[in-house]
Amino acid sequence: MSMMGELKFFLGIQVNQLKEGVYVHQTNYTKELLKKFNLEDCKVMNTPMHPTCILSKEDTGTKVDHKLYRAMIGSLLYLTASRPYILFSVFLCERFQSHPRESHLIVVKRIFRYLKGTTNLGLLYRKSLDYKLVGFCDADYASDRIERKSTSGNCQFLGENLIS
Amino acid sequence: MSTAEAEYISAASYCTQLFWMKHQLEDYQINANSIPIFCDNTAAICLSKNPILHSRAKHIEIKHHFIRDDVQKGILDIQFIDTEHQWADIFTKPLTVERFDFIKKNYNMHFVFD
Repeated sequence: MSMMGELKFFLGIQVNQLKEGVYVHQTNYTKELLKKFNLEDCKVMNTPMHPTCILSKEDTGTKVDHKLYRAMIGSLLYLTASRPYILFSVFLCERFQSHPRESHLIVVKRIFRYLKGTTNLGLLYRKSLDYKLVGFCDADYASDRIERKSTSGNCQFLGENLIS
Repeated sequence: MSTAEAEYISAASYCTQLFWMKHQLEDYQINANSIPIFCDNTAAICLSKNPILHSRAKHIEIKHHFIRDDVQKGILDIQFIDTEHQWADIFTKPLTVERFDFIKKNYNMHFVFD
């Protein structure tokens, strides 16, 4: 083992160690993704998903390339490491991986359009001695239109920092 | 039953996560007791605090009821929080711009300038 200095870059995750705390972000990875999927010139969106967006298993729409769709979902999943708030939209699109249609791809592309506006957004872990564990949990009853399943979500804070 | 059931089951499955974290923290000599869990449904909170079996809740599987034991032991403390300050909202539904940015701010999300 050898000492190589401060941790700056690890598996696509960039770490900035500053006075007030540690920043964890994936700016370079996001930029690479936009380049990879030719979405560099897209328009910027404020949220990853429209509040009234409904996705369904449709059979009529034009089929899109499986590989492209899965590649997009896969790379977005890795991005959730530093951006927990896109989790919901990614998971929703993920359910249609077996038969992706044009309408699903549009929603996935919207996530990328959102990312374009926030490429350099990262999580800040502030220095503190506050080690109080706090949990939040929420559920959305029968939010899934296809099987009427409920969605559950939760997050934990240690002090004021988000840990999972 | 209703939303209460969904919230209750969500809280119960979340407990497993919380215990995992609690045990991890114990390795670092941080002992967390009566961990607050914020839930935005009073019916679900009442279900977890009252060990009596209601006829309306009888179809909830036993595995979900272990949250009751832990509430009684005092490991967990389930508290009410209004929906506005429910930070886990962002994981369950698509949100409007204002709400999205409001929650995001509380996650300590900042722009990084190199």
